[in-house]
Amino acid sequence: MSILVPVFGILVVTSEWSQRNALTTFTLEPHRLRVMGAKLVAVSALAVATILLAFVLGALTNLLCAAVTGNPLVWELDGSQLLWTVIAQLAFFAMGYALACLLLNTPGAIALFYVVALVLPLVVWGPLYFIFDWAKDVLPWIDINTALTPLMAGTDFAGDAVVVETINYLQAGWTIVLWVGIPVTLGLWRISRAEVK
Amino acid sequence: MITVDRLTVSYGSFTAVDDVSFVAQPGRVTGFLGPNGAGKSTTMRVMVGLTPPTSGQVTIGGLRYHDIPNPGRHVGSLLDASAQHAGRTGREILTIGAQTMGLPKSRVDEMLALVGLTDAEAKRRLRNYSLGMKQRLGIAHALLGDPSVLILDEPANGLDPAGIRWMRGLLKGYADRGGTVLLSSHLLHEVEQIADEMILIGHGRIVAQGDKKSLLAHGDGAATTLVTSLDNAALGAALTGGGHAVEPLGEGLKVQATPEEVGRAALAAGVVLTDLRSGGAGLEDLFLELTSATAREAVPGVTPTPTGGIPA
Repeated sequence: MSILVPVFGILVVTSEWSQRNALTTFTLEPHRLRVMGAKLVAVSALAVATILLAFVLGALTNLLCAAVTGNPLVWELDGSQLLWTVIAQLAFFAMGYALACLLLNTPGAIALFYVVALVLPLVVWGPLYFIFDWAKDVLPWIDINTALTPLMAGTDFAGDAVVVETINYLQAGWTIVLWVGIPVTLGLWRISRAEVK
Repeated sequence: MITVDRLTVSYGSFTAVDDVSFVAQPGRVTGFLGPNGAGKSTTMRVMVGLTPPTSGQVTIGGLRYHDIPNPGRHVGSLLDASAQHAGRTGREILTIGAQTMGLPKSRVDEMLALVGLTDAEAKRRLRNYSLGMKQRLGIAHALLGDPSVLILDEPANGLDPAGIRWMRGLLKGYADRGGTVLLSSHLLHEVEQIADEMILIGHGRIVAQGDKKSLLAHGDGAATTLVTSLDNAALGAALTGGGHAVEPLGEGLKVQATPEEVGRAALAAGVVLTDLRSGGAGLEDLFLELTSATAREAVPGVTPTPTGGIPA
């Protein structure tokens, strides 16, 4: 869900520029950042809705699983981990939104989003993480998923249990700044100044 | 009222709009004329805040567009009828506009009726619209908020002759009720029929402005008159005797004099006139002449032909 659905967050921003109805939108509301803020609210609401859906589906599956297999029904949910799952989901949506603001181009933003969210972790970060020791220290400062995993799951990227420390929060915060804060700032700066044709 | 004050828009070393100032008054239709790429659309985009000016400014009713609260209710604009989501129906496009401006839904039906889009057409997606239908939808969108100022970029583009006449009536009525109308065109005869005031622009600079009469008066001085009478020879002799250059043209004469002078000469000579009109360079010639230095194509061998505008 954090891989496919954030594309909506991209389309919300870019479709208006490829269909050119941004011209009408920004004529009716010349305060462009107000429009962009409304879009961010909509994207965040969608992100929260997907989490609720996942939560309900998870609960149902748990019940179903216990009923079918006869295993004892176990409800185990850590409040902090749930919170961080929500934050991670919001961060992925926001990253899609941010990259879309930066590029204002649908194919470009989707491609970049998948490179950052999917290709790099699988093809580059993953192998580096398992091969080199230094990567375990460096990657949490670069990759949003690697940084958030300890907070969401209580384990590191490789699945080993970790004790969450201050540095984990710092890494989570920094990677969100890196992949959301910086592109969204540059993107909104561009949008507020761009000539709409 | 639209006030353009020393507006300049540059892209690098290219100046699209160069120190342009003019005022579009309420109750009048102001025509904005110029060849392709003269800077008309850029000027209009600055008016509605889509293009940042390099220097100078535009105010509408004394406010910069950015500072007008809910601007769609005060300024209606049609800059590009195709710049809408192609997958939305005409009705959806108007509904979104109405919601953005906080208007009741009934306004959408009113506007569809006003521009003559039927229910079936309003349910079609924009990508299936003809250019003329898009244009009508665009005009409906511009009028949606019942604005007091209208800014229309090439509104007649793609309309059939009946549509152009309809639009002319619509805009005239709009201005008569006190609205400010600014419309651009690269076709002179489209504008001269309805514009009370014309602004001619070429290469980003205003080359002339005023009403039709004062524009023609600014033409190349010497008035010419086309005259046909029952006795051209006698009239020609009388005029030549009066010191006016006369040359035959078609069935009549072309005289270097005002129609009044020719009329008096005919009266004195007792010649019956069958046709008398000003043959001075028509607006079209003036337009070409003023903008030819700046037009895309040089206009080789454009000699003043007495068209006087094409009746539409």
